[in-house]
Amino acid sequence: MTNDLAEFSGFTKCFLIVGSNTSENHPIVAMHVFRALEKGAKLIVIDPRKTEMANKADIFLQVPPGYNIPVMNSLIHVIINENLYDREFVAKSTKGFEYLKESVQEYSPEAVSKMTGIDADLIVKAARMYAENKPSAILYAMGLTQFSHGTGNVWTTSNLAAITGNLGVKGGGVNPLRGQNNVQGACMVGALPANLASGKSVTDEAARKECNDLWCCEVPSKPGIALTVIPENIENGNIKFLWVFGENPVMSDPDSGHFVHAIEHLEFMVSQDIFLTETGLKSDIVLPAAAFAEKEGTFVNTSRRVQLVNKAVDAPGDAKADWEIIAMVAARLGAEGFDYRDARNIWDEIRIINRAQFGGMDIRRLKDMNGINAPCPNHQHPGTPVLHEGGRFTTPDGKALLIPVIFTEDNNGKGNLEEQWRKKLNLDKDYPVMAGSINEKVSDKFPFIMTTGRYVYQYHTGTMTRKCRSLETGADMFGPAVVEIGFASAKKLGIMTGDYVKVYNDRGEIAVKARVMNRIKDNYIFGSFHYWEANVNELTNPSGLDPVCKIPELKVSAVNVVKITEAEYLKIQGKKREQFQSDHGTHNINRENIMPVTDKNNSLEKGA
Amino acid sequence: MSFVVDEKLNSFVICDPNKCMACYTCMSACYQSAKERGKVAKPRLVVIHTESGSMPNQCRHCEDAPCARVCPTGAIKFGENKIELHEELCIGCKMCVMACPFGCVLPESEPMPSVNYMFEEPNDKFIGIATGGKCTAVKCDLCEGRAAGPACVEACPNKALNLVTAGRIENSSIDVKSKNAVLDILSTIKAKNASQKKDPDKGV
Repeated sequence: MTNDLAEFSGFTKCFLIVGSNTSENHPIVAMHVFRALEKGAKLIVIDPRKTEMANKADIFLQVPPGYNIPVMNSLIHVIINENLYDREFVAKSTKGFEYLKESVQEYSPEAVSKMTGIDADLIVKAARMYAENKPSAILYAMGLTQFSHGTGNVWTTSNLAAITGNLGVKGGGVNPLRGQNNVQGACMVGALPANLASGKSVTDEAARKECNDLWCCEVPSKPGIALTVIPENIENGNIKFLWVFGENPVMSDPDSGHFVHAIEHLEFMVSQDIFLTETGLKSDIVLPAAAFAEKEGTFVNTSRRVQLVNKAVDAPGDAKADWEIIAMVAARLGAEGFDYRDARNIWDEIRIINRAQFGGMDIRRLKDMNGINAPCPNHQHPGTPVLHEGGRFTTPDGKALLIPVIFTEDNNGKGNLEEQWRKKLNLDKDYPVMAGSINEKVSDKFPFIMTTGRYVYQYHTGTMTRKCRSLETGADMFGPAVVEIGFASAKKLGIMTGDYVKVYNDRGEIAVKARVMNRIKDNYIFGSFHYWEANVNELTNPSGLDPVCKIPELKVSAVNVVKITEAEYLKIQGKKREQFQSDHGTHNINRENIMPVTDKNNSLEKGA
Repeated sequence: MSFVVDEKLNSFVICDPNKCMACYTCMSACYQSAKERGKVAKPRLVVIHTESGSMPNQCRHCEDAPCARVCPTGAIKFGENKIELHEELCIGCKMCVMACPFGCVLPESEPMPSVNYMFEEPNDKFIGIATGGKCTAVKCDLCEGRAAGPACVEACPNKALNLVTAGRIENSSIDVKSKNAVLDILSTIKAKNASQKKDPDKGV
């Protein structure tokens, strides 16, 4: 996030929420939004589903899944053509405005209305509302990013914020709502395939040298393998050993059936988690990790705020903090430099390697100030809740890049289109431009588009929440897995709420209960991936990856829906139990040769 | 002088749909409270999604409660400031479920701790057949026996849920609103009189 979420309730005058079911998935952020609404702030929601935020919105644009680029471009089109943009900010702090202006010309509200079925008047109203009520904040989540053009979608949001001068001001900005407590922190310390611990790229020679000097070893100069292409790389033999921690890819990866098949080719697989997950069941070894309240350290929240975590209870049994497990394995492998005493030691090393972000955050300051927003380079620095203040950006010339993003219905032609636009706009070779499209379209065989999401009462693959009785038998009243179907589609199929349906495509099939409600448009259905009983990720499309960040198109997959009987439903459930709740699929290895990691006689144990 | 509400009026919990963000925290809190008080461990309020908004729905503790009228065993009875439910007396006849005009009495059973449902057929909680479970009427009892009052009100993060008591009806619903209504009428009449004085030509 470019801003701190606590600013929303105090400063923001207009919210543009794109692809985020904020009240269900980020209730704390939603609380701040609601407080602002009580003070008279405006709310615009762009979403395929009429969520609770949409119910409370002043303007709701019900966009079909995958059509965010045309709608965002159309908002920019209206703002530029009606002269609602911030001329001063555009002239002083941005470059590429003429490219942007040219690229959005074909996205008039009327044209986009034809493409998406959204009322053209509503688009014009939304654009005016966003531009006239400053500061306005853009909030987005997975509904914007999980597309084969996810990066392009994000660029459109930064274009919109930049031309209206909403960057670098309190209560404005572009705000991705993070899904986990520390995903921001993990990215900042380089838990990405192409990044170093200092947050810089591995191809950056100077940055690599810093790491080499600190650790006295050679850091690889080639980017690693992105998460989403791991199954292919296992099958190619590029990956022989997989160590999964804090994740459950058997359920969360697109086309999870493919992933389950791929891991059978591995030589060895380790899973490290606080509970025995579906992935853990298929692993050769499961390493028990400590939960958040059982260890010390820091979490960096979505506002880049580094927050100290204190140990409240002892970890049960052999469970250890993740860093302890890694340090023990490293020591066993003979690696040097992993002899940390505690989490503080590691934090101090992070502060040395990433001085620009964390340099001024010693533990005492974090405690005294109750958390500090990164970047905070030195001890006098108060932290940076608002990024890019005064319109200064991190690009070499300090100006924000306005990037042309275009949309095409023709998936194969998008490379050509990028070239055409490059020529048309006379762009430099390294000036970014993106053409987006949707990978999978409806066909006669699969006439429904399925989009995916989360429900409030379960968290991701349910590793933690499905252990909680008050959720399992209490708040989660719909039981494992439902799909939402619109009235007209349900009528066509003869389905009522509570009926069993089979949702399938070439990649797999799931059996679920139907929930008929008009939250989603006709010919679209909505499902969640919380439940192994019916995991929509068996159906999602793994092939359409974003060219920049390799995110798959999880939000759009073509499926078919048929009504089934209870007997058929139970039969499919049986299959799922075999698939997810058994250790079937684990390759047989000679386990006697492997020593347990928590060997009490081990000298390393004593050392660590 | 103002209207005085009978102190014996039943209390109830109601949600302000403008504040509710359908986060289901109330349902979780309800489950927890029921479990702690030794009742059937099921939520007594259900968050309902509609096209124009969402909010939890629960017992209104009607003064002439149809559920209490139809109950053949006295499991549901008129109590002090609430409609009481004595689950141990319930025979599971479901008459109250049919009589409730709000759909707030639910026939529920909880899984038995002695049964391992992994090995029972059909072993899916989805199907709704729980071996050993006994169906009981379940409805909001305002967390009777809980010192801090209704758990849902306490848990609601956005203060959308409120406990409405006789005193509260008197103070915030009747007194304030009736005074405002009268003031409204008086001010319109005053404004009208003033405008008539200004242009006497117009006539009445």
